[in-house]
Amino acid sequence: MNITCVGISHHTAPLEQRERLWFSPDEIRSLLPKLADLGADECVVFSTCNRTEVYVSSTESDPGPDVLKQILLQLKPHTSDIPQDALFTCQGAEATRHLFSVASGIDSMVVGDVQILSQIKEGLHFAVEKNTAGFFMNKLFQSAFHAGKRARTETKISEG
Amino acid sequence: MVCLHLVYLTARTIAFNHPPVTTVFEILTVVAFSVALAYLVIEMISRAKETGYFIINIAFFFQLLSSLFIRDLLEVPEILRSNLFGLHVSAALLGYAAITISAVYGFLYLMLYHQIKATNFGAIYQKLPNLEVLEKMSFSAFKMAFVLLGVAIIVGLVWLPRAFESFSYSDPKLVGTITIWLLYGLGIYAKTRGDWKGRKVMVIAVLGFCITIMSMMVINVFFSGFHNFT
Repeated sequence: MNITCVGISHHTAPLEQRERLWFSPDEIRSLLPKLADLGADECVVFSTCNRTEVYVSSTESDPGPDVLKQILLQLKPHTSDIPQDALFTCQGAEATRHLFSVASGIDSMVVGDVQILSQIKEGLHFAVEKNTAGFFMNKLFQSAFHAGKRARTETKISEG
Repeated sequence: MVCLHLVYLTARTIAFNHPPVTTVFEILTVVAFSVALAYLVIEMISRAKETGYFIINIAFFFQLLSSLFIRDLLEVPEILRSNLFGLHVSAALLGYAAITISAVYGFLYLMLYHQIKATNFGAIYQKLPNLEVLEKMSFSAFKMAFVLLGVAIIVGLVWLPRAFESFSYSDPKLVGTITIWLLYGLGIYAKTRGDWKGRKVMVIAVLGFCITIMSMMVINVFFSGFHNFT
């Protein structure tokens, strides 16, 4: 099972570029089936003010990170000047590690951010609604939520 | 207002035949001008206008002190009439003003950061721009400080050996300023490389200001050198 994450965050792009790649709930709902049509077995998307991330898993050929970046840029207006390196890619174990660090609040601009967990949960909810989240993504994201919850209860990451 | 202040400083220079940097209260009016000018440049770069209130109050405070206590000195040591001296001091004061502004924005960033972390979305959260804008403004001032202090050091090193027979490269103020300049250069290098970002850079901006103030106080109180004109 291959897993690919493509996204934009405050680490890779300034606010003006991230704003243009923010997806509303309805836009996420219409993006998910398009990703499935490109060959993704399962996919989840979440979008906040500081990041938009797409997680895609497949057993055979997957769309590939460049195709995923293209589709993100094509679906939003006024993105032609956003450079490719404003979007990051990670795959395999690195993508999993990244998701866990995002869910734990480690990767947030305000470390220990409590909102991100609910925002990721919302992304999974849309994917379940559109039938693009199956066994693998459910298991992966539930583990990420568990890691996020443990980070907040067992460490002082969320304390001011 | 900045233009009017510049006219005032120019008029003072012409009237008294020396740049207004020969007494503490003359320097304060130049500092007030420097803070306002530095803020204006940063506001133009970042296009964020919400924080002017904090900065202009600082400039106002300095100008108020200057206006209350400034004296009009016609007789000053000849050395203080030099244009290079005026350039050296102006660049240094602008540099220190930029250090102050960088620290103010760094402090505002840290306050807002802790408010967000505590999910306390009160008056500070409502009034301030977002963390990214505050960081951008602080770092713009950080870079300005580095460039301006660099100019002050270079002009000083060119002018001082000609002006002072007793010139020494181990002058405490010179050493102190070069040390601060190198610290800010290191900060810019680390941020540009990506090693430092966000909260870490803002802490450096505030600490840099504290180190600058403390070192100046220590140097002025405990050491003497050719920077002492009294």
